[in-house]
Amino acid sequence: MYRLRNIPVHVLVIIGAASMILPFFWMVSTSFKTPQEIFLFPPTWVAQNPTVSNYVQAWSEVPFPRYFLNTVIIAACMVAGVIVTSCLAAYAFAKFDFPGRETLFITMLSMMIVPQAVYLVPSFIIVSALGWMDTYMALIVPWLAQIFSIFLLRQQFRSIPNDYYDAALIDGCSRLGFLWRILVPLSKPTIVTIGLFALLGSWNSFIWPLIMTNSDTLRPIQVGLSYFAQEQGTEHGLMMAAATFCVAPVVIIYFFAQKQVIESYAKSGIKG
Amino acid sequence: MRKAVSRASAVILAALLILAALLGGCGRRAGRDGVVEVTFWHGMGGPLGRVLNQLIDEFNETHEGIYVNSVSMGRYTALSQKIMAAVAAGKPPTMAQAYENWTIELILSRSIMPIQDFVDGPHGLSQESLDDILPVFIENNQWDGVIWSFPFNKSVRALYYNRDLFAASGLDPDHPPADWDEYIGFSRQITRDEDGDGYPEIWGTSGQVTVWMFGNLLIQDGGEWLDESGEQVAFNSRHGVNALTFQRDLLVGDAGFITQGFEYQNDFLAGKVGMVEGSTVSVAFMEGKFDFELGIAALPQGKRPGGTIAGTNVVIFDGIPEEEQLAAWEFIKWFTDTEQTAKWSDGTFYVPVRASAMETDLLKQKFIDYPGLQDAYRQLDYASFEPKVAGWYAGRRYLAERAIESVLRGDADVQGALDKAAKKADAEIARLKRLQHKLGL
Amino acid sequence: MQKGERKAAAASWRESKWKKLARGLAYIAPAGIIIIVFRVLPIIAAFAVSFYYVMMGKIVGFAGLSQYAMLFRDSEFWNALLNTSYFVIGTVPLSLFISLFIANLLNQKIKGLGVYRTLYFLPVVTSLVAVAMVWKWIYHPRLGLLNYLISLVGMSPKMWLEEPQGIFSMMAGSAGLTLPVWAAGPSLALVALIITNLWRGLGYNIIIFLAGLQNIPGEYYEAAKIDGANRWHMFWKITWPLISPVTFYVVIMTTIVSFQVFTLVYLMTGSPPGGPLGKTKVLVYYIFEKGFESGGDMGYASCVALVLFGIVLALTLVQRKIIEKRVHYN
Repeated sequence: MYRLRNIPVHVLVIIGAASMILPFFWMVSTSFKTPQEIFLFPPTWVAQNPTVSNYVQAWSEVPFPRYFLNTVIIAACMVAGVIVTSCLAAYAFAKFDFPGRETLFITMLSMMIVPQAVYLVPSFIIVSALGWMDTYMALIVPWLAQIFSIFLLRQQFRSIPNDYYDAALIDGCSRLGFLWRILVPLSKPTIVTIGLFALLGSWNSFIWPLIMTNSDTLRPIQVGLSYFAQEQGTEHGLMMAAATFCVAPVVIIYFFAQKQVIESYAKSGIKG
Repeated sequence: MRKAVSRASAVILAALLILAALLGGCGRRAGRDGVVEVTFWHGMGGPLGRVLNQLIDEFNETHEGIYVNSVSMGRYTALSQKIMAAVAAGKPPTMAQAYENWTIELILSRSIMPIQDFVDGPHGLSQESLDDILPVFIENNQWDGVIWSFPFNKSVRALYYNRDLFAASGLDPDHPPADWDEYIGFSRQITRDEDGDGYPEIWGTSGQVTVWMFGNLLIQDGGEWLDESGEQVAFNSRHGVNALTFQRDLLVGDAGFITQGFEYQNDFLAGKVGMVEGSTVSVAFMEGKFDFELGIAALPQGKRPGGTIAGTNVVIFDGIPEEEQLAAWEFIKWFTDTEQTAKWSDGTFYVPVRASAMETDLLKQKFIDYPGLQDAYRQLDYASFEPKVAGWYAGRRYLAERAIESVLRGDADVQGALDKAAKKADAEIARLKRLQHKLGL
Repeated sequence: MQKGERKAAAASWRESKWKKLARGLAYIAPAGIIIIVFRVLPIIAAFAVSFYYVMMGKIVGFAGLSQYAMLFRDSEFWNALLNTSYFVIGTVPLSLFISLFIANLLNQKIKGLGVYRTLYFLPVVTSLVAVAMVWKWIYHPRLGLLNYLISLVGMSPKMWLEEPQGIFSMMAGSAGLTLPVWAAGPSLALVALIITNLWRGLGYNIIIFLAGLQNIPGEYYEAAKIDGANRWHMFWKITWPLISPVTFYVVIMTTIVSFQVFTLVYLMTGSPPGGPLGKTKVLVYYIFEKGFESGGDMGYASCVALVLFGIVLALTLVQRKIIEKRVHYN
């Protein structure tokens, strides 16, 4: 219902939304400006002589295509891995009955509260000892399991009555079969959520790959972008162009799947 | 249908993992028979890295039994991290670049081999050859008289100036500032406010927060880094105060400004700044980015000539098969030999490590092509270096953060700032000394 | 029970608990092994190594508790803790109130709710690296957008990420007063980071609150309106208590996350990061610096990391105690 008092609400909401968007707009706007125009102050809102040279140069100066490829490979493996390992583990925690089940679960859950800063240095050494430094293994394997995903999925699996489970077993269904053929299809939204988190997490991950990679050929996007930014220090146009095309894929996916993404985050927050 | 989907995904996953394994590789190339592989970790990228790799390729082609695998970490911070991880995991590379303050810790933790052993060994260097290496580099790499590391890419600080701006400001382009008074005097003369808005468009000089510049000024004023005992810092003496005061007056007075990082060099390249300091290597990065006549000179002198060297040395790690260590030493010898060090200097503007290299045709031509470069290199005659004592790694940072940056950002109490930094630096040096004692290192 | 069922039940009951355990562990193994190797093991290792002296990555001697003792006398640690605390104190209440406010606005059944929700959430899915780069550009002292915008309202340009002065001193200064050093407050540089962090994280808290708000049945408000309650009343008596579980979650999550700020400092402050004058050096950055940069002192770095963990844990437990009393669970 519309009343006059909705206008101030609208105005506030729009101001808020605009301030969320402004930096993106500014990023894109700068990316099309020539170096001369960037040095103008007061700045122009929209490029007067738009050019794509920043994009061309940024794309070719550093092997961004390779960075993209790396990120895609890592993301794909991570998504697949997290889904598989979480399904298996959550299944056991939700449906099986074995001694120490709850204790194990709580212990595992408590690992989540430990800050990354604590296990970063030792992980670094462990990865080095395994000989995985600067290889895909270091970037993928440690992330093939996610405690939070196991937690979410367990909630979901528990919500499916045990009668189904008992009945299926009696009918001769294997335990694994029950998981893949019944539980998983029934839990699609949660699995999509887990996959989404893994996807976004891997795309945006920074600290871990920063420490675990050296070579140019292995860097995922964010690390590559950060090196680019640190090297280009003052080439603002180039940096904004690079930032734009690194952000674009996620933004595009986000706009197509916005409802799903937002609901995933919202629901997981409530459960957490 | 579901089965097909899950099978397909399994296949895709497997394919991706295989692709990952193939592309990712395992870090070390499989050694070919009879060829000793030397892994060389360094932090050189960009134009400098290209020249390095060219030379490494040349070495590999002319030395059949050895293959030097050049691994660039892109930057020195990444390099030190990787070295630490490797040492911690017991998997060091054969050799790596290292600053002196990393080296002392590597020595204390017994992670590297003393280069002295190789120098004295059967494939070592003759006394004549050793004497050819510039003395400052030998001293720079010695602890207690033992050579632990070897000079690799060293540089000195030079003064770069815009000859056109000099001329336009009534200064003689062939007469760069020779002392502190001229340094600040010329800067003031060049600085001008062209459009009358109260802010100068053209500045005399610019820079950043840097220990290097401070160190040079300290030495030039007659000061020292450490006191006689070598265990306490002396940069907070009145010489230090003079140095930092001058640094401040020059850079943030009415004739200069500071920036974060190397942005100040961009302003110089754009023709907005009259003179800047920088490593001799800066020329390599500036090529093609300016359109005025570039002047190169030695730094202006204070009460006495002074300047500190920068750059890294190389170390050979412990725990590596002996034949790899010897192969690494062959590479180091070759790289620092007269012909190669001249080529290296020619391509990168790092200074050659041997006196004889200065006489090669290659470098002689270089000095003709770049007037003033030789003057900059000649600073090596009186150059010194920063402390090599354990704890300087942190001590240096205190100096930069608490003293230099503080003063350059407006702290008026120069002595106080230096004293604060000195106190922390001393504490760190003392702590490590106690540790060394306690652990019998 | 039918015959088949009885058989199955009996079979299940007869299965030895070892077999059940084995099966359980087998399923958990793929995730479990990874978690053990890359979470549990490192945590144990961090504890272990905090009792040793480490140089350039190599253990050189046993330290016992002396590195922990050193930590208490380490002024840089306290500086990092102070900066981090400023960051958390600056972030949590602001984030809480602004996101709750906006969620409330969005909950008014306005047209285009979906669009607004999407826009507010956009920064959350954007990579932190890109966010840092763009905001650093916005904060540029000479060419940045922010200085331009504030000049439009008559304010003078600020140094933002390069300004070490505390904001309280700055404000007092413009009123002609000088404050004692301890009252200077967080540096403008740190505040700039807080603003960027808020910008990025608001969307997440907004949609969490929105979900919580939408769970409140409209009838409550209808009834209250009939009783003559105004908006303010309705908020405090109905909304606030009913979303308290959500508030609880938001406060704790925001606290834990903001305590671990790193990437923004690493990328936006330079060089070296943590400046100017160490005023943005937060705990996690200090740990990173100690462990990976100055001399590879991983033993000490682990000490600091574990103390950080202790603080986060303590804060979480304290917040739970305080807030749980006020949380209404339906």
